[in-house]
Amino acid sequence: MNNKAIYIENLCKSFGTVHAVKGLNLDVPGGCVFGFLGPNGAGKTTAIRLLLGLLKPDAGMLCLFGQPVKHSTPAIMRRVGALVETASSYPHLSGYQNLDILRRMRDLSTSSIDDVLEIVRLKDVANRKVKTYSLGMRQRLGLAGALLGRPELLILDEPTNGLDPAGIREMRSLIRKLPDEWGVTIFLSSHYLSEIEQTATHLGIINEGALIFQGTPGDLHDKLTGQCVIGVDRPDEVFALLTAWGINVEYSEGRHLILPGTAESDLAILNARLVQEGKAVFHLAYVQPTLEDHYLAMTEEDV
Amino acid sequence: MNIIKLFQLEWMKMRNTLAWTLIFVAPSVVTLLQFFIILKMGVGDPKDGLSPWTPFFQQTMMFWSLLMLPLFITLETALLAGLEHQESHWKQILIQPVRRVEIYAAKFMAAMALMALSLIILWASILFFGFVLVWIRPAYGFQHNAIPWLSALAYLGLSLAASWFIVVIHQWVALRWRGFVAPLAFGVVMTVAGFIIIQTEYRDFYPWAMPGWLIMGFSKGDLILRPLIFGMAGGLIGSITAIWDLVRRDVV
Repeated sequence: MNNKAIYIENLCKSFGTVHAVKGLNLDVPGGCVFGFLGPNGAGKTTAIRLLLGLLKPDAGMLCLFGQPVKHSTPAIMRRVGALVETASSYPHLSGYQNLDILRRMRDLSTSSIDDVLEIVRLKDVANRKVKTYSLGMRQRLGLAGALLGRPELLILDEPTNGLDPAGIREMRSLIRKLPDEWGVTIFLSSHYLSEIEQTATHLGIINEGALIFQGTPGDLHDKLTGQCVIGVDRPDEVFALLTAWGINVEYSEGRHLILPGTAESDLAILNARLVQEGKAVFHLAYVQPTLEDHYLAMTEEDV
Repeated sequence: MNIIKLFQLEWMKMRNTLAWTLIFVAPSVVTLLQFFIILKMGVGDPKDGLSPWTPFFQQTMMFWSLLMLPLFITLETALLAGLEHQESHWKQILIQPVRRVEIYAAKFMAAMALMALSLIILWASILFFGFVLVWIRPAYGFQHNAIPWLSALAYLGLSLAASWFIVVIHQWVALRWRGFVAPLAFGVVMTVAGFIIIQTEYRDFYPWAMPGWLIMGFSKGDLILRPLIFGMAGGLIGSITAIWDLVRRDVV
């Protein structure tokens, strides 16, 4: 367990009658960029708050760097930096003063502030009050706070929330360069697969408080299976014919039929047989779903 | 990280806030009002031979302890807690490598330090307006009498000790519940109730009446021990209980 940055076993947390996290298991190896995916309300933020000791679990085991997490665990938290949802700051203070408060709490030198300001490119506006910052600048300041002291584990909870496309791109490029420059393990939560897909080396998908997939993006790709789609003039007749031939068939939009169990290589033979039977085929395709489709299917299945 | 460092951080956070401004404004306003009353009504009878500093100081302390102090505590504690409640700053503070007990203890210390500072400002403003009276009302005789430093110290110390319990209660309420309305409403209701309770036998035990009752007694030459002891004991036990409760809470 010691080479694991995060280890979660059978974690549960409820708020009254709402079961936010239900028997969550998670295994995050050190040095990776772990994408923690799930739709809104899936339990991502609750899981992260449990990880950071902000919430007490009802049941289960939760370890960071092989050590159990409880309230007030300064030794562990010194190795962790986090940005939970939107960045928070004291708007009446400058960016530098905000970071200075966090620096002092971590017993770091003043040079650590300059380091992180450089990374998030806020050095020029560091002495401006935070209330004059844009949302993107505030998020970057939050990231700077999380990076103070070069943590071994960086936990980012939907860091692009509320950002415009330019801000999202900027934040993404920052996150992408951190593992190389700092050698840090990143635990990145999001409800956008596209965001995770571009950065993560490992994936975990959570839905309704439980993990429904864990592996690499490659593993998820391997799970993708395509399906044949045909367009015919008389779908009812073709449906009956295909069913008689023992082929699994479903109605789709308009005059299209889906053949879930049919391989791409069988399409040509199928087309020839239909033509022989006098059925006009105007569309023939093998559709490969995207990761996004698969992710949506996985998370919607459970709902 | 030790509590003293965290205490210093609390002061850093207060810079340029309304909470900081109020420390100077609230005591000065009370003294200014008392100054106008003295201008209008005079300050005792010079033939009595008493120092005019004493009634000026006593009356200002009474005004402060009975009316302004409970409201001031309500506002200050709500504003201080608001610094962390705004933008849900707790989630940033409580994931730092610092024990929660120390974070909350520093906050309670900072609130009491603010009270002490406000009393010092009160005393400084009395001196300032006393010297103004030397200039504009030399007949009152402020210039012929020594400033009662020891008596002032006793008043300030007693007021601070007796207000500890109220500070703790209000800070607990303000830290526990987000928003400004709940702590403010609670403070106003308790303060108004204090005006009635101070006229009853229960005034020794009612936190919002304790400082006023103690100062009223002291200005008549009596040191009423019960509100002093209950104020301090309540402050100590209340602090421990409040910190214990806050440390265990989930940060949602």
